[in-house]
Amino acid sequence: MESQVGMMRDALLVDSSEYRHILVSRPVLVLQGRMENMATMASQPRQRLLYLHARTPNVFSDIVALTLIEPVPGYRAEISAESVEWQYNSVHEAIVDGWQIVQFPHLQAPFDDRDLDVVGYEFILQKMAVIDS
Amino acid sequence: MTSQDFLLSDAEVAQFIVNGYHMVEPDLAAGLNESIAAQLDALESNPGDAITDSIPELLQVLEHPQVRGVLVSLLGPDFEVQGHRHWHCKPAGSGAMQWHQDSTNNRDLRLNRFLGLYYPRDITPDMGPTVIVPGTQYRNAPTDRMATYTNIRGQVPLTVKAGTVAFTHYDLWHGTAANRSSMPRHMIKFLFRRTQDNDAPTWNHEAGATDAPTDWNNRDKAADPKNILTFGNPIGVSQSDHYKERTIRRQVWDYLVGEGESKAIDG
Repeated sequence: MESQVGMMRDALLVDSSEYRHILVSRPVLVLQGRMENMATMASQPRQRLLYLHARTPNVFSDIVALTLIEPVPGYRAEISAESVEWQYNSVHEAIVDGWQIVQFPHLQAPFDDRDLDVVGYEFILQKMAVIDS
Repeated sequence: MTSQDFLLSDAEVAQFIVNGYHMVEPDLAAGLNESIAAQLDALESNPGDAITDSIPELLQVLEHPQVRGVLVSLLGPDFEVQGHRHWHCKPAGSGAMQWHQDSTNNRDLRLNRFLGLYYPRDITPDMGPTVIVPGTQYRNAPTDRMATYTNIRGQVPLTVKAGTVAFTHYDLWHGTAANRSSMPRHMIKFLFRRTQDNDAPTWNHEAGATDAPTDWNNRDKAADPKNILTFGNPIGVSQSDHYKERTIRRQVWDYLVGEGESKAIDG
């Protein structure tokens, strides 16, 4: 296990025939070769994903939509007809809780000051966690 | 009572323009909802557009003066009930459906067609209700671009009483929750279309309805058309989007009162 998985403390991207180091800022999950079985996977950190649609590109602005993706088999994110619990009111609150932004909103799209398209500005965040499943 | 007795007010029309939906609970004949629901339960296949041939009592819903009053108000007295209609049955145990706008993303800033969603049974949160996002009807957003949204602030589950008809703007974002109950959730969708441009308002319009002073101190409680159109922000969008919405709403209002420039009706 130790030979397959290690935690790197600095941002690093290395790609060679023997190692593929995937940059995820910190911590960085280092894999060697292919995982042999799912039992091994169970004790490794997995990527939780959080899509936050904020009112503006500012991380302090209010959240208008939230989608949480848990890295477990069969998980589905569903529209709820019950009252929704909003875990975070801003992207900043999620950062304070340990989430890391992996994609900022795309602002380079052609700008139109009359038309309306999607709701809010999409931040994609991740948190690495060992999942018991 | 006729449809003229149930025309919408200026404020209700303004609310529809802002929120993209309006709901009525028509006083239907006793037992009608139950009869329709039982017949839907017994259907072995979906007849598609022929649902009203299979269950002719559905036409009683369309002909109710409270329903016609909304249609006359928003589409004019010569509105058309289109041939397309559909029984949306969400069986017990069926999953959620993600957000979407119907058809392709060619949004129409005129108010020329919308849907009527009739629910013959009480809809509880666990029955997989339709869920809508007020105010999204003017967004030109391909459904694929909504795939990363799940819950949106201000979304409204249509947990309604039996017999409710929800009129929804054709382009309003909508989806469904999962049906975790033991009952099928029935909804009949009808499609309505305008055939004539308005020369004048077709609802209970009062002259000078939009002449009220802008009331910055009661933005969340606006009750008159001017301030509803100006300040309504049902899901709390950004200032940039809100200003665009104001402009669009005013265009729609002007069109409905017969003063707009967008006069052509689609075929």
